[in-house]
Amino acid sequence: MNLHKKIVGFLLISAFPVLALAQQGMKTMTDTSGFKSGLEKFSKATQSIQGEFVQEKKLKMLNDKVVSKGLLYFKKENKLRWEYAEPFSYIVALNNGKVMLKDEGKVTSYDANANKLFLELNDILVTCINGNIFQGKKFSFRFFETDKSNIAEMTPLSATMKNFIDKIILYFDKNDFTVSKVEMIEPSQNSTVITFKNKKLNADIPEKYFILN
Amino acid sequence: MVLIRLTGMDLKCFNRQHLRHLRSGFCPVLFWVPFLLLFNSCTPEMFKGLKKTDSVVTVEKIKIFHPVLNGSLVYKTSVSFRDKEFSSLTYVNSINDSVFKIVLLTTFGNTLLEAEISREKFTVNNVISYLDRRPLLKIFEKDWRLLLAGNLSPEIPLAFPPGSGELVFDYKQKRTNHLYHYNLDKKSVVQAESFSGKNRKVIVMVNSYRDSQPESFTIEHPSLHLKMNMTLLKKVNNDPAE
Repeated sequence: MNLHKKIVGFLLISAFPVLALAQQGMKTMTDTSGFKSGLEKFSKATQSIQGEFVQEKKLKMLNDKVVSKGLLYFKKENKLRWEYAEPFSYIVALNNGKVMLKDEGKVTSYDANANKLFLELNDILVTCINGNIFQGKKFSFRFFETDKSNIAEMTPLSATMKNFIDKIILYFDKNDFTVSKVEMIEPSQNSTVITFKNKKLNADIPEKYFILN
Repeated sequence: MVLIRLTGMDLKCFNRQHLRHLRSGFCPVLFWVPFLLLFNSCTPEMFKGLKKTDSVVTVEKIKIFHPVLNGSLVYKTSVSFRDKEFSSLTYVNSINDSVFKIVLLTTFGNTLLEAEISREKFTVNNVISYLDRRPLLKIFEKDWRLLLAGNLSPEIPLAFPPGSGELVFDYKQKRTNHLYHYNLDKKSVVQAESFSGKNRKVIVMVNSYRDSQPESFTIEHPSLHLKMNMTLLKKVNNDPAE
């Protein structure tokens, strides 16, 4: 290979990340501190969030798209309820560190070990809303933006987490700083995208939503 | 020494010369008796008297799953192991009638296991670290080989003499017997069992079928206190337009 070809090759490889981002309409965030302070203000003003979610899993091996749907409730400080309606009815509630699960009317304790990624996701969502997402030391961050979203790309630092997840990408709505989409990419490059819609802020959510019995 | 260990006798004074003497000398019959007893005990009474069957018809009867070429079957999978219970999702897909793909996901979408099973091999393409244990993967493979014997096994099963309302077929391999109970009224397999010697290791009960696919079935390992309930949720098409 002559020198000319080597230079062209090097330039193409160097430009690849920029080209990939541009293709998705993403660019590096210009005002990161403005975004962080905006998120902090939002978290101080937010006591609860409820909305619908659509969870879409893309499996490389099967070429299939797996879609789950349901409702999500959050109440400060750390109460969460995932209410799956599809493909089957299933509720998971997290209430101040206690995890409960309701399946076909039966309430059981949650196997945290089998769902480390899920627990991590909950931790991320809670810390997002509580405004301290960027204070932890579990992830390294890169920030991007599009016309509609501020984007935080999180790469796990611990070897344990790297077994489960390659990257988590959070999309924050530029209008109200709420999380509109979460993209989780596994080491196998299978990905899960959770999109939130019809969000209601500071609605009164009964305490019983976070207690399963 | 092998003979001594197998018969459980304390015959340390026995050596190779004694064995040679037994084999070629005054009492060859006596030498072979323990072997005959041993081999005889490998074939439990219940599996004796079987006859070979018409291969094509039988294999069709034994099929629990039928190839899903344009999508996947999605099963809600409730696992109970001792006092623990959890739910997950199982995706079953087939490239053709002899290669099946099986994917296990948590309810929240993260991948637990991606595997491919065919006549010749079992390939794990992706497995979460805490399930990446050889005994666990072996159980998983054996369960799916039991479920898919009608699709994957190159062997011709043996048949029991017709019983009341059912035909029973047996895939025999060394000390292992896989039995398939074909219900003549339902025209489908309603139960499959895996025996190791006389011990029943795995029981599959197929409660119902939908569009020729198993709709509700259980896989039970009595000795491990492990039970999986599988319920067909839907068939997912892999049409990208959907």
